[in-house]
Amino acid sequence: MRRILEAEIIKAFTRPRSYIGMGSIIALVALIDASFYFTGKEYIDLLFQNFDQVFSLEGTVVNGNLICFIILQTLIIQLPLLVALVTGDLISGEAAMGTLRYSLTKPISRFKFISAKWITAMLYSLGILLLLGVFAYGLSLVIFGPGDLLVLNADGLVVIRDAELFCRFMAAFVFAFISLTTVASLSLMLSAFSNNSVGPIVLTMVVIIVFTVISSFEMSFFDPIMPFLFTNHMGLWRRLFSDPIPTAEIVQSAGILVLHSLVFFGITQYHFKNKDIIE
Amino acid sequence: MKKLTAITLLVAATNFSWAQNANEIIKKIRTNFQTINDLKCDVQMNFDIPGVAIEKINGKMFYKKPDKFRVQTKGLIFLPKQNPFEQLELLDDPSSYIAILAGESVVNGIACHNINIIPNNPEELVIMRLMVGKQDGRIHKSELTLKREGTVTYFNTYANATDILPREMEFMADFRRFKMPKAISGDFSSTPVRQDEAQGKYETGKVKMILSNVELNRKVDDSVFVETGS
Repeated sequence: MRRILEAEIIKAFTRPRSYIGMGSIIALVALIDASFYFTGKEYIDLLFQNFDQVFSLEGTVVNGNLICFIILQTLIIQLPLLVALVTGDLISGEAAMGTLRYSLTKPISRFKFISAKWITAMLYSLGILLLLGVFAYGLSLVIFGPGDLLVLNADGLVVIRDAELFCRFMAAFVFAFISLTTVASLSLMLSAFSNNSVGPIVLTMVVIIVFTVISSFEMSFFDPIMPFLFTNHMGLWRRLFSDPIPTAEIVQSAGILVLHSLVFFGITQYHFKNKDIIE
Repeated sequence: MKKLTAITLLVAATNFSWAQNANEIIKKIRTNFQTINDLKCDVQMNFDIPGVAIEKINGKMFYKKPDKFRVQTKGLIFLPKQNPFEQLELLDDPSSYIAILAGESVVNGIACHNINIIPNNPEELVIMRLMVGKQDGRIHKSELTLKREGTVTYFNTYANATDILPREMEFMADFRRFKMPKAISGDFSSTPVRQDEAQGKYETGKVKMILSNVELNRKVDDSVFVETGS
């Protein structure tokens, strides 16, 4: 199992496309940091112009914690797409190239083969998140310094004191990892059903985009299906920046996401076990 | 005709006497305020603003005549748009307003005179109503009607009978709750805005400042008032 895993990791991390996501994260974080460095105050003033009539907000609003939060909020929707770019290709890419048959001529079970692929997908997701953590959190704190975080929610504002923020950000990264695990598992499952590499990637992106768009609509028409959209649960990382933190709700959503991952993993295993790889 | 003249004279005399009384009451407040040039103290800021979750925070409050005011904390705070000493600054120049005694009221169990202050050249402030203690001659409540913000209220609570400055200043103002569509805020996990009954209604926000360790007239450097945040 260890050798298979090593081989899968090498395969995944030596492909140029694996670095597209990482490169875009670095570029986006740099752009967001630069834009806030030069025009951050204007942006904040614009957001608070209505509120500003009675109360004035005093203190350093534009700080490293706010920038990290904005980057997370901006990228958390795009991040799954970047993950799917690699994980959606893990099985179907090999099927398309014809190396799948060759790999399975070795004396390894299909279960272990798929498990190795799945762990590789998790490790790639973790790598993407670590990179985001270093650049979004670390770099922003270095450039802008620490400070209280002002969170803009649909139903109001939350000010979180600087001392509490490290733990909350770490918890948010853990939650983001659970979310990415779900997306990676979905794309791996779709990859098992396909023999070309583009289909599963595009399909994963379409699912995420459609679900996210529906989640953002505040129409009662969509209310019955909201709990079934896993993207809705992925957005719960934001609740870690509420006061008080709705722990039960967050744990429930994390559980639902883990359940999704396990179901996707199970379907992948079941389908791949019976898959005709000679086709 | 004689009766009409008598009534007119009586009304004029009453108004004159009310204005005179009001000016006498104000004079005591003004005299007290004139003894303050620099102020430095510890402050605890407490917030009760609908739709805003923010914990209390400690910091330092600075004031320097004629109109420099700052609360310095390590974190973010919400402050009233008006400097809380602005009402006293206005009273400092008797030629800039008309003071009229306008009845009596009880504020926190303290019998007060109501005094309306009407600025001669109203800019932002339209009218200010002060509730001044009959016994102590200190402001216990003030209502400021402002052109843009509407009516804002300050409650002052004093620790000792001889204190010139209040130990607690509570600011209250009505405002519309901060709302933002999910698509803009990026917050897809909260209750839909359409389900919120408070939407669009005016609600009262409060900011309470509790002062301690007050240092009066120990020189406060101008650099304290330079804003460094963004």
